[in-house]
Amino acid sequence: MIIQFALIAALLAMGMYSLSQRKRSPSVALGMGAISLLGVVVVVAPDLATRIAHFFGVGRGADLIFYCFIVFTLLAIFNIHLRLRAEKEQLTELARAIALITAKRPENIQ
Amino acid sequence: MTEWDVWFVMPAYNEAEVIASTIGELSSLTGKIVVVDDFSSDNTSAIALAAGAHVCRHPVNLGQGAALQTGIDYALARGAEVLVTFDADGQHRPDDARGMIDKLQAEGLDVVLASRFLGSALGIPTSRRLMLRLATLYTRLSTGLKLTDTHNGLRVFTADAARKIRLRQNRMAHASEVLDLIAEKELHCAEYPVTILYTDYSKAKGQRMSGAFTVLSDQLLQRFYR
Repeated sequence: MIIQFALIAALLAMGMYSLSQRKRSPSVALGMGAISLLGVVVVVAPDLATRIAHFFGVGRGADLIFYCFIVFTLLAIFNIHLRLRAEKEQLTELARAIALITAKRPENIQ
Repeated sequence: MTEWDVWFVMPAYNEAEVIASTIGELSSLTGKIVVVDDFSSDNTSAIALAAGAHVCRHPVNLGQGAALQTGIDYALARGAEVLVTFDADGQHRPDDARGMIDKLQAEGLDVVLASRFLGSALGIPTSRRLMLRLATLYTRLSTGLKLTDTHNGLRVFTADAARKIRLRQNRMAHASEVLDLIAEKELHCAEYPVTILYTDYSKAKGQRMSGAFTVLSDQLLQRFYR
């Protein structure tokens, strides 16, 4: 089926990207790698997804994948949010340095 | 008592209306003033400079906590021995600051914190009183500090204490962060009764109830990175 080829191609691309990122952020790379690998398995053998879904008390494999997708997306957003906050701290240091360099002292006094 | 090199650190964001009079009131005390203009869109910087203050201007808006830290860095770099954080909106009284500096020196403390509830809060709205009481309770539970007022912008630090306090919270959570750091570094601190003047101007610029939730989540999230 065409959809399977498309999905596998996308998942493999994601897996390769995660490999390339493993030095920069190992935990994110590991998570992405595991998800793309699992994704390929589920695309190749959809029945497996349904059996796992039944084990967890979910009706269809597709539903289970959808639920997992939501959770992973939220985790990804949270991760990005934390990164933004860390960036903001760096921005603060930079802005502070500029403010200190360009500080003006009153002219009339001292 | 020998006079110490006192620096007033005043974070300001769009305070052009009042900053000159706040600086003017402080001129009755000996000490230098540094105004940290947190990227105001009005001419707060120019007015503060003309009124005789040193001025640092952030190139982007970062928040009050960040502005305080910038001012503290500036004052420490210029040899400040005592640092006083002072709100720009005119709600603090210079006499109280003087009294707090005297107390710091006389009792050999690291930090003196102002308390409006030991003193008086003139014209304080009931909702704000309630919120501040809750904040006090939270501080007692989270840091063990027995304070009566945890969110007062008027604070006096020795240079050593100020060096130990590095604010990472850019926005309003810095008020709790200061207290956390005081507890963590085991600084000797005391409260001093002050009067806060609640003017229409200061009330309009003050914090809303919803801010409390933001502060709590800011504090919690800080533990997740770096």
